[in-house]
Amino acid sequence: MRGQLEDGLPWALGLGAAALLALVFYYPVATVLIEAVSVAGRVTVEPIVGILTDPFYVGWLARAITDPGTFGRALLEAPIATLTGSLGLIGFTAYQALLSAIACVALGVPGAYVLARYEFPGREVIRSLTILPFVMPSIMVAIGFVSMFGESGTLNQVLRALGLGEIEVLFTLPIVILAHAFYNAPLVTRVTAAAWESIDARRIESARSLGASPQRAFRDVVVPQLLPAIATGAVLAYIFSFMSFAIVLALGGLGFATIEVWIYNQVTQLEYASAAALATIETSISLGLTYLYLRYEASQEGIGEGGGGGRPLNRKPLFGSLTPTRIAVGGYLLVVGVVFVGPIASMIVASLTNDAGFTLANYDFLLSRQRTAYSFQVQPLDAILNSLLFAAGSLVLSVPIGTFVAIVSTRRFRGRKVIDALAMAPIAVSGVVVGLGLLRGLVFGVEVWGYRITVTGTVAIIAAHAVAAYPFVVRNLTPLLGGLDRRLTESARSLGASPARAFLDISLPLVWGGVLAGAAFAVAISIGEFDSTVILATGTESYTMPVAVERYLGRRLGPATAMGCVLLGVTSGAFLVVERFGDRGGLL
Amino acid sequence: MTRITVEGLKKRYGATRALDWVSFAVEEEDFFTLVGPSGCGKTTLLRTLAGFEAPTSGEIRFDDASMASVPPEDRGVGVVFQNYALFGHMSVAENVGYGLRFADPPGGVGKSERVAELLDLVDLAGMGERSPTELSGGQQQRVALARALAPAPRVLLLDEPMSALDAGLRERLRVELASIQSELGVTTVYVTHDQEEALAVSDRVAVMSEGRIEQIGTPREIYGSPATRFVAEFVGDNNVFEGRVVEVESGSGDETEGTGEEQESGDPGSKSTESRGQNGTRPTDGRTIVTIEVGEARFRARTAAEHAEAGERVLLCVRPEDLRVETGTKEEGTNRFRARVGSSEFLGEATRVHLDWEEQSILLRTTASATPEGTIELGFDPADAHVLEG
Repeated sequence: MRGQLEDGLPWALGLGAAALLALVFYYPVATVLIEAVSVAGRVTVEPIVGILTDPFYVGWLARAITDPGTFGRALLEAPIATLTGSLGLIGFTAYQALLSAIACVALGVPGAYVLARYEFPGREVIRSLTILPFVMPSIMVAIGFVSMFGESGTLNQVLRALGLGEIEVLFTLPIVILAHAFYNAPLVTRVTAAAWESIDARRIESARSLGASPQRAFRDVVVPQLLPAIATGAVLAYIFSFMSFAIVLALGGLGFATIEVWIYNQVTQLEYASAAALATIETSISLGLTYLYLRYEASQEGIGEGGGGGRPLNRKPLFGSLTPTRIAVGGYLLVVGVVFVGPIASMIVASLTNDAGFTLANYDFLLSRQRTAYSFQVQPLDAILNSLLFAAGSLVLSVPIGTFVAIVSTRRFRGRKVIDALAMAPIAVSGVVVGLGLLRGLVFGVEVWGYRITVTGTVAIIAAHAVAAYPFVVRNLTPLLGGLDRRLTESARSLGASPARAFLDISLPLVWGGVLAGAAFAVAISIGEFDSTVILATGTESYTMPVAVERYLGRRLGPATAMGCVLLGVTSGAFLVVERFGDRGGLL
Repeated sequence: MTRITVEGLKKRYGATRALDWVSFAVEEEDFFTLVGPSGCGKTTLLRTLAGFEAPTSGEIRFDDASMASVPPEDRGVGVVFQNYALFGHMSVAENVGYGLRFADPPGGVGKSERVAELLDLVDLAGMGERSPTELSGGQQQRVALARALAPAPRVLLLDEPMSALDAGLRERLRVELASIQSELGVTTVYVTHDQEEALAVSDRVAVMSEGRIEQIGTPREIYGSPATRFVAEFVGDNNVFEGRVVEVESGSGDETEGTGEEQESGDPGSKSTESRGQNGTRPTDGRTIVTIEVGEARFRARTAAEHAEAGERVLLCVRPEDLRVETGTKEEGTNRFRARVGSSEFLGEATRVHLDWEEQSILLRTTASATPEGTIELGFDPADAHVLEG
C-alpha cells in the first residue's frame, strides 16, 4: 500500500486532528464514563445497576425484575395498561422517539410522493429546503412552536376568530412529537424522494408488459425500492428524537423529561454521579442504535440500482382537474402549512408585533445594553457577541479537523474503518454528554504531572461546538474527495508535484465548494448549539443566543422570537451557502 | 533517451495477481505497446512504471537507475490517461505549463514559450486561454499530450488515450501521435485493449493475459507467428484446429513461398519471456512438412522441427484471409475441406463468412464480389498454416 500512502502528510495531519479530538472529545467523554463506574475511587457498577432497577428510570421493567410474580399476574390481567402505564424515564424516552419516528414517516412519505411524482413551480426549491431543518437550531424550532401553538399563539388566535375556543397543547406529549416531526420528517422526505426518483421507469414498464396492473406494479416494483429508504429515514428520526434535548426541555418541560433532559436536570442539581451514570447508559444506547443503523445502511448498498442509467418516472402536473389524489395532496399541503410554515411565520410575525401592532421594540431590545438589568440576568447583546465569537472559534477548529479527517478517510489502508468510526462517533454522542464531559474533565480541571490544568468556559464551549460541527465538514468533503479522479493528482505527481503540492494545487481547488459548505454548516451548528452550551454556560457569562432564548422563552416571548429570527437569518445564510456550493465537486 | 528494463515484476492485490512475473525491456526511442483484454494487468503495469503503484516484488530500471524508491514526481514520466485528467480549474495553458512549475523548460526557453511550442506541436496554437471544458474530446486529448510532454519527460506513458474518441478521430490521432513520438524520440509505453491500434502504431508489442506477457514482438511477428493460442485468437481473427501430428517429412527444398512465417519455441516456460522472433534468430533451416490429423481430416503444414514428432498434440492456425474458396474440380489438393456457409458480414473491403465444419465454426475472409452460399470447398497453403504446441 506504499503506493497510496508513501506521503507522510496525511498522517501528520491525521495525527494532529486525532490529538485534538482526544483532548476535546474522547478524554472528556471518558471522564463521564469513568465517573459512572467509580465511587470514591473504587470500580463499581452500582450506579448503573441502581438506575437499571429503579422504577423511576425503567418503569415496569424494574418491577418485572424485582417482583416477577406480581408483575406477571398484572401482565396477564391487563397487558396493555401494565406495559404502557409506567414506562419510566428511559422507557418514555424510547416511547416518544418511537411515536416521533412514526409521525415523521406519516408526515414525510406523502411529501416524498409529491416531490417525486408531481411537477410544480418551486419544486426544486422545496426539495432543497428539506435540508434546512438540519441546520436549524432546535431552540428556534421550540420558539416557533410556542409562537404557533402557545396560549396566545397563531393557532389559538385563528380558533378564537372562528369562535371555536382555545386549545392548550404546550407541555403535552403531542406537541413534543409534532416538533420532532418538524425536525425530522423533511429528512424522511428527502431520502424517500431520492429513492423514488431513482426508480427506473423501465422496471415498472417491464412489470406492466409482463401482465401486472398499475397497483400490482407499484406493490412489486416501487414499494420494495422505497422501503429501505423509508426505514433509513425512520431510524435516523428515531435516533435524533431519542437524543433530542432542547425541544423536549422547552416544549415538554420536566413533566415529559427524556434521558437528556434529566441528565441536564441532574447537572443543574449538581448530582454529577447520577448524571454520569445516566449519560453512560444513554451513550451506550445511542452508540448501539447508530451502529445498527450503519450496519443496516451498509447492507442496503446497491439495492435498487438498475443496470446503469435508468429513466426516472414521469412527473404529473400538480395543478389540474380535481382528482381524488389531487384533493388528498391539497389536504396534505394544508397540514404542511400548519406544521412547517406556521411556526416559522408565527415566530417572525410575533417578533414584529406587540399588543399595539407593528413594532421593532423586540429587535431594539436585542441591541441595547440593559443598564437596568441585574447582573444575573441575560444580556441579549452579550449573547449575540458570544455566539459570534464561538462561531468564529469553532470554524477555525472544525474546518481543519474535518478536512484532515476527510483526507484520511478517503485513503485506502488497513484499519480505515476503525478510524472512520472513531472520527464520526461525536455524531452519536449527545451534546449534553459532551458538555458534561467537558465540564467535569476540563473546566473543573485535570491534574497532569502535579499541575492542575483547567480551561475556561469559553474554550470549552468552542471545543464543544467544534466537536459538534466537524462531522458536517467531513460529511461535505468526503464524497467530493472520494469522487476526485485519482488520475488528476497522479497527473500532477508525474509532472513533478510533491504530494502536498498536488493536494494544494489540484485537490483543494476542486473540493473548495465542499470546504465552504462545511464551513457554513460549522457556523450554523455553532450558532444553534444548545445542548452542551447550556451546561457549560450555567452560572457563567458565556451564554449564547440559544441559551438566552431558552431563558427568555418562559417569561418574555417577544425578545425570544426576535432572537429566534436572528438565528433563522444565520441559518438561512448558511443554508444558501450550502445550496450554492454543497453539491458541486470536480469540474471535469 | 531512456531505456526501460523490467525484471520479474509482481503485483498482488490481496489474493489476485495483477502482475505475475513480468519481464521485458523497452529500447531507447521505442514505441512499445501493451495490449490485452480488460483486467489483464496492462494498466497496473503502466501505473507501476509511473510510480503510482509499488510492485510487490521485482524491479524497474530507467537506464541503469532503479526506480524502487523514486516517487512519481522524480521519475521524469509524462502520463496521458484515458479520461485525460485535465485540471478543470485551470486554463489550457496552465494545464500544459503545470509541469514547468517544478522543472525548467528544456533548451533554455522561457516557460510561456515552451507552452506555446507544445500547443503548436499538438495543433492547438492560440487555445491557451480556453478552459479545457470548452474543448472537444480530441482537443482535450491533445492538451493532455502537450501537458505530459512539456517538461520533456524521459518516458511517455499512455493509458488508452484514444478509447474515449470516435473511430475516425481515433485513427487520425494515432497517426499524429506516432509522428510526434518519432519526431521527439521519447521512449513510449502505450496501453490499449485494441489489437488493431496496437499493430498500427507500435515498434514492438507485448500481448498480455492474466497478469503475464504472452508474447513480445514486432506487430508482424505477433500477427504472423503467435506464440500461444491466446495470442493467435486475440490478435486478429483466426481459425484454430486442435489436432495431432501423424506424419513428419523432412524439409523439402522446393517450397519457395516466403511468408515470413516462423516457428515459436515450444517450451511453455518461455511464454512470458520474449519470443524468438524479435531476437532476430529466424530459423532458416530445419523446416519440415507435418501432417496433422484434425478429427477425420488431415492437413499439411510447413513448420519448424520442434513439433515435428508423430503423436504430438498441436494447434493448427489458419488466418481467415489465408483460406481460399476452391472452385472447379481440380485434382484432390492438400488441405481441402468442405464447409457449410452459415452467415456472412459485409465489411466493405471484404466479406467475413461464418461457416460450419465438423462442429467447429470457421471464419473466412474473402474479397470475392459474390457471397458464397451452401456448402463450399475451402483450402489453404501449407506455408500459410501456423502450428502451435497443443
